[in-house]
Amino acid sequence: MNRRIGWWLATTLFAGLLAGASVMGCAAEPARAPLAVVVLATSSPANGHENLFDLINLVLLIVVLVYFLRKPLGQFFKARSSEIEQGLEKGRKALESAQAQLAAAEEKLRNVESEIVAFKEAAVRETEAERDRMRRAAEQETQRIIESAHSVIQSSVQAAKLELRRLAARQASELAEKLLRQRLDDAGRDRLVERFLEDLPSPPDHKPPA
Amino acid sequence: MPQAVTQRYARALAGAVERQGKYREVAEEVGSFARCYRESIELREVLESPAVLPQAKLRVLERVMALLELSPIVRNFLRVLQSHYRLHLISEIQDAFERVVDDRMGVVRVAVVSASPLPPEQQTALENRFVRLTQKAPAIEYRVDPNLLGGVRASIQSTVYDGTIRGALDRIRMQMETA
Repeated sequence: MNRRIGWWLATTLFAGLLAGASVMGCAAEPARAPLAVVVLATSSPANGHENLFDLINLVLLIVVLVYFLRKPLGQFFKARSSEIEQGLEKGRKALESAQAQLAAAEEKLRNVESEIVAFKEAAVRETEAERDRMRRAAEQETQRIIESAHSVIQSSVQAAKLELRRLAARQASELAEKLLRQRLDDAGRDRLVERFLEDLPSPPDHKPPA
Repeated sequence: MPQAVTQRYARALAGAVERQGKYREVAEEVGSFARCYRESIELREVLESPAVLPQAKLRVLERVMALLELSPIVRNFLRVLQSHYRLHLISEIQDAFERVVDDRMGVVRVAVVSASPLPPEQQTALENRFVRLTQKAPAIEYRVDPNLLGGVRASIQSTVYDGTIRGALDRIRMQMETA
């Protein structure tokens, strides 16, 4: 907006100057108007009255232009001045920030060597600690596996013993049954029945005969 | 629950028979009907089906009872069972009734299993021994199982007296296994 007003003022001022130059007889060559003003100042006395009126006209034109253009021009230049000040302030702040960053980077660069050394030392310490931890974990896992293996072995041994005992008992029973089938005769069967009769319990209130 | 129900019906029947004292006859009649009920699928289907009307079921039951020539007291008992929807428990009721009858008549049932048939003198000796043991008249049922090898095994209700070689071998084998 301010830029547009500035262009308008400049165009108006230039147009006024051209008009003034035209009044002074220089309209045929607008590009040479300033030169015409100088020529006006050094013109001959014969043309003195005409030049006076022209001068008055020019003064009036300038007065009118100043009257109408003073406020917009003041605002334009004030806004432009403010923009420039803000730009300068922004640039100053950017410069300060860049300088601060530069200072921080330089400080970091100065400390980077000591940081690298500290980092290496910390890495070595962490590596040692991790190695110890892994060694302890491996030892614990090994111990656990050994205990588990012991437990499995013991239970397997127990199961094998039990199975062996069952097998031996079954074979002994089968062998005994085979022998008994071969050797048991009627007399033996009768004795078994008699023993069964003898082994039967007596009733609680039963008193054997005297 | 079914055991309590069958026991209640068995005691009721025994109470009804008590005056006449014909426990065994009634037990046989109930047993014959229970056997017929167990062996005839058609009879069970008719008497247990909810699709058959109670009057039709009663007519079928009356016909079966007439064919079996059951006594009036047993017929009444079976009608009661039918009206109370308990006829499907007839086998259990028969067993319970026989136990009640045995108890009232002072009889104890003994199941004797031996490796070979027992001679009469050994059967007599066993009977006398069970009289001494139970203080009741034993009704002994003999059975032969050659797998026992030798000896006798007697069961009185839930008590088992095992004097067989098979039992001895099993006990020895278990002791060897657990030793």
